[in-house]
Amino acid sequence: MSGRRGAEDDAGAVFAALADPTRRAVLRDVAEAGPLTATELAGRLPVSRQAIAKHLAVLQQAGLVTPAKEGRENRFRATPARLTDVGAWLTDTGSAWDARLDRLGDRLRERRRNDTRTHGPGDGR
Amino acid sequence: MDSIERHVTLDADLDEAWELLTRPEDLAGWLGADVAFDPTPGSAGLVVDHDGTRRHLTVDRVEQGRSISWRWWTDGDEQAASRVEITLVPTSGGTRVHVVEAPLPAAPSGGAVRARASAGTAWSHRLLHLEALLLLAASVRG
Repeated sequence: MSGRRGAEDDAGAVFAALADPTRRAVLRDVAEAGPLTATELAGRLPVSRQAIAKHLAVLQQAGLVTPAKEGRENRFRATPARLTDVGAWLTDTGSAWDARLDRLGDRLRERRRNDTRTHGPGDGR
Repeated sequence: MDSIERHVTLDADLDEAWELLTRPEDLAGWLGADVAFDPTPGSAGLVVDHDGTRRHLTVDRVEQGRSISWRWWTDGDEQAASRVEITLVPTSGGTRVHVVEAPLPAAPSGGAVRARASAGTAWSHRLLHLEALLLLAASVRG
C-alpha cells in the first residue's frame, strides 16, 4: 500500500472502487455487520466467494476495508477514514464552486454596469 | 467515479457567458484572485485563490462557445488532480452554466479502474454513488 496522500487523491480511488453496485453492497455489509470474512459475505450476498474476494481486494486497495488475519481467512472491517476524506473533498470542492459561481454572477453585473455607461440600457437584440 | 455538480443561470447570451469563462481578465473576477489562462487544448495555466492556494491546470478540451474542460491540482500535489468540465446551455432566461468537478484516480491499480473512471458515467449513476457514499459514511460513523 502506498502512503497517505491528499484527500482529493483518496477521493478518486474511493469513487472508482464504489462505481460497482456489488462492491457497494459488500462494503455496506462489512460496515454494518463487520468484521466479516469473504465466506461470511458470500453467505449474505448473492455472489460467489471468489467474486467477493475480488471486490474486497479492490475495496482494500482504495483503503475502504482493512483485513486482519484469522486462521486461514482474512476478516475485514470497514475503515471510515477514507470516506471521511471523500466527504471532506465533496464539501470543500462544492463550497469552492458555490463561491466561484456567486462571484461569476457578480462579475457579470459588474460588466453590465460598465456597458450601461457606454451603450445605455435596453439595447435589445 | 463521482463528482460535485453545480449550476447557475446567467442573464447573458452564449457569447457573453463564454467570454466570462475564458477571458483571463473576466476569469480573474471569479475563478480565483489571479488567473493565467489560455483557452487552448494543451495549454498550461495557474489559478491563485483568494486564500493564496495555487492551482496549476492543463486545458484538455475546448468546444468553442459550448464547453471547456481542464485538469487542475494544488501546488506540489500533482498526484491529486481533478477534472473540471464547464458546459454552457442556452435557456429562455439566459445561459445555464453547468460545472462538474471530479477527482482523477491518481495511481490507477489496473486498467479496469482507469477505463471505468474515464468512461463517463450517467448522471443517475453518479447520484446513486453519492447517495451510497453518504449512507455508508453515516452507517460507519454510527
